[in-house]
Amino acid sequence: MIYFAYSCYNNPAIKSNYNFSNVKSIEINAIEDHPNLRGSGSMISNIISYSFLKFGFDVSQSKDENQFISLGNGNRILVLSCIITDFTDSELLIVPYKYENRGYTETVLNQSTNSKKNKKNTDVLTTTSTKTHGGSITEGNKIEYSRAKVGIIFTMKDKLTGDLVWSNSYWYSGLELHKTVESCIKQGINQLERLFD
Amino acid sequence: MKKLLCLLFTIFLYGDQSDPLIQASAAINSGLYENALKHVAEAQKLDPSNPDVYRMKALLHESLGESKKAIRAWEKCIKYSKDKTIISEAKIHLKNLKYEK
Repeated sequence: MIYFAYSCYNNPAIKSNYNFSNVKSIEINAIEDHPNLRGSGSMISNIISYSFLKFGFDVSQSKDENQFISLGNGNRILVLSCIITDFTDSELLIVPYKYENRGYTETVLNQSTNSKKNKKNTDVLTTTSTKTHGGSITEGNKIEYSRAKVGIIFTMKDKLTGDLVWSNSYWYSGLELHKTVESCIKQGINQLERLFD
Repeated sequence: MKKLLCLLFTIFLYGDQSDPLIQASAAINSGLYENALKHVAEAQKLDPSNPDVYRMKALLHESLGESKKAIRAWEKCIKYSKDKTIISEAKIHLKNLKYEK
């Protein structure tokens, strides 16, 4: 019977009675492309190897060109599979925006002269009127910019028994595809690393 | 060269628009992230409670490798957003960025 430990949000499902200290290596299965982008599978695969290496694991390549991670002197082999659930190179983000009209003040100056006959003095009448036009905030239509989005599901099985021992899904977004894929995979490798501490 | 042509095109397209968010998105689409951040800062002054402005700002800081600033922007995004998808996105980014530290 398989016991999975589920806890808070985004934590992986783990077979609780599996002895991870008895694992010799992890084989990484070939990853199928996402329909959105040809070559996405090999891109993810290469970044998985890179991330394992960055986390201090010993990464090698078998004769059939599959990557594997050497762990210790145990006798069990795990197989890591990855399914790409989302691989969006550029998705348009729509942002409603507000445009602020700060208003203005209009001042009108009227000046009139009243000069009377036989009089030396001249009357000058000056009037000033000020009108204030209030500002307004108008809602704009939309602003568009693109971002990348990547989603994956990692599953790890015991090669001999076929038991599913660990699984979780991840997704990440960013302005650049490569960095987004890297960040997405890094979340998984970070959780996976804790199994072998 | 491609980026320059793209920039000229976006300037032509949005040249008469004075809204900082339009200018920021044009700069993002041209890959000019530092320039985009300047416009986002102006947009933030005009509309300081718009979560989309903070999301844009956070994504820009992340692309520039400025984790601390990205964390602050994602936190503001959560504070002002009512959209569950955006909040969930922000939480994933925060978790990842805080681990980086």
